[in-house]
Amino acid sequence: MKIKNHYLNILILTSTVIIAIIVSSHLYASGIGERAQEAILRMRTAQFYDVRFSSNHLKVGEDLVVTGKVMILPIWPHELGFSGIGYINFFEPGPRLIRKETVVNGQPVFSSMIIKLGDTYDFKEVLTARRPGTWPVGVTMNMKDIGPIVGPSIKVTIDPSSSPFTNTIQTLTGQTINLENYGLSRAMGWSFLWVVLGIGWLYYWLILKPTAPRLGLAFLEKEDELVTKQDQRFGFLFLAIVLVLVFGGAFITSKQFPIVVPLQKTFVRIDPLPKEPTFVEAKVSKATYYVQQRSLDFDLIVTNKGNEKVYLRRFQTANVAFLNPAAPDNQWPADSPEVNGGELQITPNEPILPGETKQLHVKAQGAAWEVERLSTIYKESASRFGGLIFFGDAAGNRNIIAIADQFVVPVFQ
Amino acid sequence: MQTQTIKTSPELQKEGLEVGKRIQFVAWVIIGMTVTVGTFASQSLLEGDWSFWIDWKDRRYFPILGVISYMLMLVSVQAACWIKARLPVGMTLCAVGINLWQWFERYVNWWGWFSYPMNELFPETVIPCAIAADCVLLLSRKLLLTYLFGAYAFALTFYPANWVMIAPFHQPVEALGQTLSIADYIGFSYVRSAIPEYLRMIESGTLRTFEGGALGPAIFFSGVVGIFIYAIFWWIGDQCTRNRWVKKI
Repeated sequence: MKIKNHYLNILILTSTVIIAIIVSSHLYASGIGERAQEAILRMRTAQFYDVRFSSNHLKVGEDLVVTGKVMILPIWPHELGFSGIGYINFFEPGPRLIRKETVVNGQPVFSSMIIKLGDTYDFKEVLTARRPGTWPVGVTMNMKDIGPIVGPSIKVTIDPSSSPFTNTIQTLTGQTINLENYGLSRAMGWSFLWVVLGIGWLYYWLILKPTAPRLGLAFLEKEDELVTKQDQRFGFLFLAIVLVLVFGGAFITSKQFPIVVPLQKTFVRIDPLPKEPTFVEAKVSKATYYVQQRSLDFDLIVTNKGNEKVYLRRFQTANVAFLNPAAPDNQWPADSPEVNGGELQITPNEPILPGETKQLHVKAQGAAWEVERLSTIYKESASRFGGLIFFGDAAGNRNIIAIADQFVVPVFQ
Repeated sequence: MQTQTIKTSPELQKEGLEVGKRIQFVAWVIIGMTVTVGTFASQSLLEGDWSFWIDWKDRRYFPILGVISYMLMLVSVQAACWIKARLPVGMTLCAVGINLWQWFERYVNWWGWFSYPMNELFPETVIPCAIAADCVLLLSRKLLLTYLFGAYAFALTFYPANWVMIAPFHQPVEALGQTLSIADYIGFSYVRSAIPEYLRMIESGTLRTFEGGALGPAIFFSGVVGIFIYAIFWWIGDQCTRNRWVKKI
């Protein structure tokens, strides 16, 4: 029996150590949870593109600049509801980097924004590395009533710096403060004072006075033996101390900080980006998702209204991009944080000539549909998809066509 | 024979008293920890972010939710301590316990794990409010007066007591092309990925008269609500102390 217990103890100990090792190796998030979101959220609401992170290796105190664009698709999923309020946010496992600036369409933005369907928002976020380590970071568009729509992400490695991290700002009263610890000692001191006073009150009643006899006396309702004149004088004294400290403290505080403002709450109206000249029109006529082949196929009727021949260069949805290798200078950018879905197969794959209208069959095939958990589009309450199609000419001009609310029919065989 | 020895031996009597004191101390520590857990559960569920973040502690919701969320458990424990032993300590016991626990929990979890600076998430204190309400009970020894003046003692002292800590964070700064308070800028700077700015429910609502001072009406409103909470949760505390719950059936 003893031997059995011995083995059992070893087994429990070993299991505990193994579990501890597994848990400790996953203490911090290794991703930002984009795959956990339903495909409907990622494909049919907001689409990020041209997102770039200035670096993936920083020292504490160095800046990370994130730039990119996010388009709100022109047709919003009915089942999600559109609040019209959004907030461009940065995703990280706690403030490993602090945010210094957010600029949207050239305007600095502190608060949430009023968002319009079909609009594109050009954003820039400037952050400063604060805590050493390797952290998954990314951009999100938080939409009120829906939650975060996750954009592309990378892993950033932050190395320690010889100088301690500070986050200074100057107040409008001329004081320069470090936000890392500003006001903390005051809050701690004030809280500590009240804890001491509270313990003093408890000490009088719970330590100096035996509790057990009071239970019996209270049951017998012997009030005068339980609450004496001295107790009441002590209570009066404590009440006076509390009132003097509270209102005296507040009065002195108001003299110390005569200029204060309330917390600021507002929504920002963002001016739209200037309209780009449109030289391509395109419309999806039919879409099919081949489950076994992991392929999204759709027919596209394209009209080139410009003076140059144009190529279908890229199809992108939910941070997964498929590139057309036949388009000139269309290699996968080395600094792209998006997921490379593979080659975009287009039939016919010749450029669209000026004035020409033709139907293209587009095939976006790859494991990314499964890996990124986007193949569930045919399992959702509305089997539809959305995304962006990028057309471009040889001169580098670009037109982006949004696909929104497009039915997709699954083929299971 | 042994009992007689104890009764007649001053040394044993003294030792017995010491042991009794120690048992009493341990018992109150256990009771304090238990009611702290209860207070933490009810308070954090009700007050939530207003308790957590420096840029949520506004003039409108913070004084109302702060008072209400704490009073629920504090009043019940006050009632239990008073009814069972005429000890005016229930509120202070909970308040001290939860304040110590909040500092510890936020330091370990939010600073230790996530690196949020403690000046962004230090807890408010309700210890002065709790002592004041306990004193009102002790001095009045009447239920109605405790409901009325205890609730108001709690509500009226809540914001001034915390203003000492949060006032420095209301100084203005110029950032992102606008005037912000330091608290706003801290909230912006130390990113909360899961709490977008539009969730920050502050300063919005009616109460736009009284020369724009929302704070006064908010404090008095919390006092009025506090009276009803006092009545309801005193009754709940009273019911919880009844022997019927431990009787054999």
